[in-house]
This record gives sequence, structure tokens and C-alpha cells, in this order.
Amino acid sequence: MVVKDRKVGDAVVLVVEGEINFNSSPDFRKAFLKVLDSKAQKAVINLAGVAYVDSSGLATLVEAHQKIKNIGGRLKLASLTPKVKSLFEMTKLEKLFEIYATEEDALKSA
Amino acid sequence: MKDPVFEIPSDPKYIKLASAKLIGALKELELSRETLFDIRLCLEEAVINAIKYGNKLDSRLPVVISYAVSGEKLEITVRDQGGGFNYRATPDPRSDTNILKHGGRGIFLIKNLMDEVRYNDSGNEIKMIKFISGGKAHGSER
Repeated sequence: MVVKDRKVGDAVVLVVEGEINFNSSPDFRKAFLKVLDSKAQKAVINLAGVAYVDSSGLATLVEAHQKIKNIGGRLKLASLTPKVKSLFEMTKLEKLFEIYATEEDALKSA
Repeated sequence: MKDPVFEIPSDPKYIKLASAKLIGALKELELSRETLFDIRLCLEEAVINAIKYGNKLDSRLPVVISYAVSGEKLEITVRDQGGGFNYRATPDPRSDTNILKHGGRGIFLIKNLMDEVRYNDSGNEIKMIKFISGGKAHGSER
């Protein structure tokens, strides 16, 4: 898994390529903690390049959501692949997260 | 196909090896990508539970995986060396009280993505059954 970050206006966009699973979740957590350290209040995670997420990956995304919420920020997810999206629906995490069809949509939203 | 059995040590670095071995063996069945995703995810979730909770990350202890394909179904069994867990008490991770919790989604995903899930009496062996007959499993969604 590779995570690249970039600043777009007042938001930080994390582009993830690969799998967010039991073994890669700690690295994903580190990348997200870096976003929190930067004091960004708005984060977008672009998941277009993520074809596989397991329960550890889902849990790490929930943790990221909570951590940014606790400092008054917002986390948005964008470009979920169909199977990953179906896992969010199945686990009702679609109600917890703000999910957008594209990164652009996520950045545009208020 | 016979009922092949293989083992992996209880070390997370072998999780993908286990699923790759199973998925590789199923290649000739020409299952859809969606079905293979479900099978892989459920096997990996069961293996993670076996390594982490059953064998408590003791790499000397094996996780034993077997699988069998009959005409219409695939059966996958994952067994650890632990004392088992209370599979009857698995809280719903979708509830308001559990949605933010770290654990509990693995078993839930298995139950939802597989057609049947059974445990042995002591709770250290899970059997997961996926029906693989019909167009949905074989690629109409490909």
C-alpha cells in the first residue's frame, strides 16, 4: 500500500493505492496521523486505487474519522470501488462517513 | 476435487499466502471477481481471528485450512489451536453502541458474505460455505 498526500486549498487529500488490510493498516494509520499533525481540519481520502479493504482497514478508517472529528475536523471519503463500497453499505458505515463519488465532489462540498 | 488441507504458522505475514493458495486452487471454477473477493475476504478474516485470538500470535501454532468443492458449493474450514470463542455472542457491529468499536466486523462480514457459517462445539473451527452454482457466482457480474 502506498499513501500520497497533497494539499488542496484548506484540505489534505490522501490518495491510497493498494490494500488497506490487517498488515497495512498500521501504515495507513501513520499516514493519517501525519494529516492530524498538520492541523488540517478537512481531509479527503481518495480510495479509487483501493480494491480490497478488510475489517481491520474498516476499523482504521473509523478511527481516522473519530480522530479528526475530535479535533473539530471533517473526513470525507471519495471514489470507493464497488466492492469496497458494498462493505460500507453492509456494515452501515456509509451512514457514519461522508462518501462522495469523486475527489472533486468531496473537495467542493461545504 | 479432493479435500486439500494446508497449514500456515500463526504469523500475520502468512495471511495473504493462505488466501492466494485458496484462490489459485479455485481458478478452474471460473468464479466471478465478486465471488472471489468474498471468498478471499472471508478466508482472511477467519485466518486473522485464528492467528490473533485462537493461537494468540504464537507462530509455533498452526492454523489449519481445508477446502472442498462439490457440484454447487465450496466449503472452507479454518481451525486454530485455541480454546475457542463464544460464537453465539457476537454483537452487531452496525448498532449505535458498536459502530465506532474497532472489533466485531470480521465475523459479521463472514456471516454476510457466506451462505452458511458453522462452528464446531468448542468454537475453534469455523466452516464457511459459499454456493457457487448459478450465473452470479460465475461471472454474470464480471
